[in-house]
Amino acid sequence: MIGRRLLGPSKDVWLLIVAAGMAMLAWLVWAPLQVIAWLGAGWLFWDLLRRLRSAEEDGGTLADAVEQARIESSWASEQYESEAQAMRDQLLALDERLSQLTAESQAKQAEIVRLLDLEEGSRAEAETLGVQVHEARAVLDNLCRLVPVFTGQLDNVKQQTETATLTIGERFQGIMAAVQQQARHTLALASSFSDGRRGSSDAILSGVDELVMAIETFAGRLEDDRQLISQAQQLKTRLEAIRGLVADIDFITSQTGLLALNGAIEAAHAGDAGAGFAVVAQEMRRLTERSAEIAAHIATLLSSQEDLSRLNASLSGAIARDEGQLIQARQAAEEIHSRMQAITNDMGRSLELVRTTGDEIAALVSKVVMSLQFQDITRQEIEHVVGPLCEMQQRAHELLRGADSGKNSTNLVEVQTKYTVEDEHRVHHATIEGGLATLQSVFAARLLEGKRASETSDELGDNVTLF
Amino acid sequence: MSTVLAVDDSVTMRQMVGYCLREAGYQVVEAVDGVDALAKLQAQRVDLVITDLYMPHMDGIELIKQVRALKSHRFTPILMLTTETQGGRKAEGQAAGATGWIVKPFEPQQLLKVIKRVLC
Repeated sequence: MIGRRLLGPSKDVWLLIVAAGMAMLAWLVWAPLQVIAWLGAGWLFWDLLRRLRSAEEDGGTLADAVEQARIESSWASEQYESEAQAMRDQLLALDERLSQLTAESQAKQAEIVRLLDLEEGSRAEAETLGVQVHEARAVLDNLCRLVPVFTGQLDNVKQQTETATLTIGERFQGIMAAVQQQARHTLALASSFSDGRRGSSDAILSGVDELVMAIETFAGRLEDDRQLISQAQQLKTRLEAIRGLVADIDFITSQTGLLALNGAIEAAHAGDAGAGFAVVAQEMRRLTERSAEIAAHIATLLSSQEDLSRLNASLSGAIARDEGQLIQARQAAEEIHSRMQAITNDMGRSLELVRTTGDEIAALVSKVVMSLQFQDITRQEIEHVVGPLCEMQQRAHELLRGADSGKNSTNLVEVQTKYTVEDEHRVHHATIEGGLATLQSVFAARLLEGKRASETSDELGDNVTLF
Repeated sequence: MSTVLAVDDSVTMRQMVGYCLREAGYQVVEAVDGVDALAKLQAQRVDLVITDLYMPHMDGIELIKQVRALKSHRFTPILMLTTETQGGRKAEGQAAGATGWIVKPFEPQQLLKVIKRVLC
């Protein structure tokens, strides 16, 4: 652009030069012509004088000489006039031309002034551009040095992520093998333990059942004892009642004895008339004595009631203690039963938990395998950045050296043809259309898509096509 | 026990595919690109080929064409496992003789279902 500006006014400069040249030429032509005209006039005048002098010297008449001179002068004057006229015409033409050229020259001068101003401005701009070009060259030079470093860093990242992913994958496989082995071992152990415990539990429960049966048998015997005690109690009550009856019998006996005595007395008083009454009284006395003997005998028998009571009391005490122990034994048996049942239930829940955890681990494994594949995806994306960067570096290098291969570096259209991942197209368009803010929204949308994809999946999946 | 040839220039992808298939009981042979895969196919018989698309020396579509030209593997199922989603490339794969097209990343159970279906 600077060259065009410098060379641009050349045509006008040439015109200006031509105009100036013509003006100069016109002046150069006109000045000598004027000089020549004045010289010519001066020479004619001097010739006239010489002729007059000569005519005087020749003795010719002044009039002839004057006439001669006048004629010659007239001729010369006419000559001069015509030449002068011709010169005037020429001069006029030249003058006109000069005016034209002057006007053009002024216009050109003004143009030159304007162009000079422009040139001044262009020079300043060129200087600025020169500085910018210099800075751009410095930047390009830096770019040529930095791009290999950046691509090297990216390649290093690619390599490191590949190594890390491989290592994670191997360790993951090791962990999974260990987890599976442990799960198998745990299941086997739990099953065998469950079988063993079930057997032991059955034996224990059987034993508990037998214990319960024994307890119940003992409880039955205690019940019998209780019934015996009850019967003894009843017996005691009856004995008490008998004691009461014996007391009544004693009373009746004593009264009867008194009656018999009174009867005997009255019979004695009655003499022979009372002999029969005396016999009755005598018999009554014997019956009274016999009743007293029986009552005494019954009383003797009733004295063993105390032993019975003591026996009853000690038996009751023993039964009470046995009942207490029975209750404790029952409670212990029930507790053992409950514990065994709880343990069996716990084992069942634990087994179920092991199975459920195994399913959860399988689902997590699936997600880990999917995540580890992203190293391959990022590797491709990095390669699609490194390639164009290298091309741009090569092109910058060529420009710096001044060598032009004619080949342009990858542009925005061409780079899209190299993309192999859907995400690359999305990022490309987001960056061009909206910059960083739009790019962030693309990242957020991708996270949401990932979650939705993990929640909903068809039989084979949206990413599968069978031909 | 079925044998599967896994072809991918990415060592991590071969690792993941190999792990998933071996866990499911398949025998797995690995190849680093199309040329390596062809060499292995000429040396042994496989029941299924799973291949990436973009690989050096020989890409997946060219590999499929070459496999279909082999008498021993003319009808062997071939699954493309790739990041490519463009319909044009998918059509190319189908025209070359691919049996199916799976876009990465794959889910292990999903891959096993597809394999089971194509091997039936």
